[in-house]
Amino acid sequence: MTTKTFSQALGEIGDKYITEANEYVAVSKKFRWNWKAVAACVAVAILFFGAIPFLHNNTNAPIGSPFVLTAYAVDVDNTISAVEMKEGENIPVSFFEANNGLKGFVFSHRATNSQNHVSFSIMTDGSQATIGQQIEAINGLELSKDNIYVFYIPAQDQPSPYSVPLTIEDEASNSIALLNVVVEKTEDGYIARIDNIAIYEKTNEPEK
Amino acid sequence: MEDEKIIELFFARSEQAIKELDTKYGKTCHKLSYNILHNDLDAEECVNDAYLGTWNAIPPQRPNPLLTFLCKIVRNLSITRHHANTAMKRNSTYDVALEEIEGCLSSTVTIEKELEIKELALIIENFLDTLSVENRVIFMRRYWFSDTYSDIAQRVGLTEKNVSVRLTRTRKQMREYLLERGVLV
Repeated sequence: MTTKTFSQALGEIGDKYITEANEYVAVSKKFRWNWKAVAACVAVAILFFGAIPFLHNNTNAPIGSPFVLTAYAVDVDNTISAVEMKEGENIPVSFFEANNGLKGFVFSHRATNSQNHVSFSIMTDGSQATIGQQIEAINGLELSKDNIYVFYIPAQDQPSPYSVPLTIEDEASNSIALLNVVVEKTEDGYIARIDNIAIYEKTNEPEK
Repeated sequence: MEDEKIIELFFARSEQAIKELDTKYGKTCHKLSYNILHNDLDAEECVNDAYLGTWNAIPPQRPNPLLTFLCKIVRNLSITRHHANTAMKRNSTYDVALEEIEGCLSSTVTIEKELEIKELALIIENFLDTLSVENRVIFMRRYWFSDTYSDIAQRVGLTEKNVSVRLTRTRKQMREYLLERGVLV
């Protein structure tokens, strides 16, 4: 096939692809990594949970990559699926209800150190929630102390797709992963995908 | 001005329609044409010809969205002009973009002559449907609009490097897709 043939064929494709490319607005444009904000977010998370799980050595650290993010969904037969997410892959997700009545999407990643309690990070509208409500359980989910659970509550007046920025630390490799998870509503329900992942080495030097 | 109102002006045969069209979409059209022709004057002529084409097509047509309709005319005219300019140096973004994809299309044995363009377009559409929205937009911006990596990166909110990597992966996927369907042998 020549490039001319390809170009001609491309010129014949449906209008919807051209319109889509013309009208596309990047989801990630809504969110720009701001190192100060990330640092503040991590600090708030530490204070919020009343623990500093990744700042001390612990020989009982769970095995496995802490950068694995799991998404949860309720299947058609009401069973719960927990699927490890990969960048760019669409994974079904569902709303879950917490013990305090909050409803949101649930993701989890491994805690870098063993914890005595289950940790939750409540997020809403792409930022750390300040609703002051703690979660102790999520209906239908068996929670593990080895995980940190992210409970994302979309803003009521905000249509999908939703952008969920996440920060996962790995003490062992002294690195930090910044992920942007996008949650979209489709005809078959909600899907989530990791839209962007970047891994950085942690440093004590201030960001210039 | 809204597209519907511009189209109404076309239906009323008001020359104001062309002015409004140019105000709203002139830059986009010129950029698209320039990406292919790499020449301001040629691009301007193609865009003006596209306006004339639009004037002749509306009525009876009532395109929706108007921009897609216009872009298709601009692209077709620009590519025709590009092929006519045989003496022109091959340095436009269109050329570079096509040279880039040549590697995944080239084959010692070709059967494209037996394959209708429309049939190939359908296969490309099916392939595009397998991509994520973001990767599809990146592919379209590069190979339909002939945008530069920099332009695409800005549009989709990624780095140029990320755009480049994604396009490399998509081209590889497309080659495999075309091979599986016997388009390439």
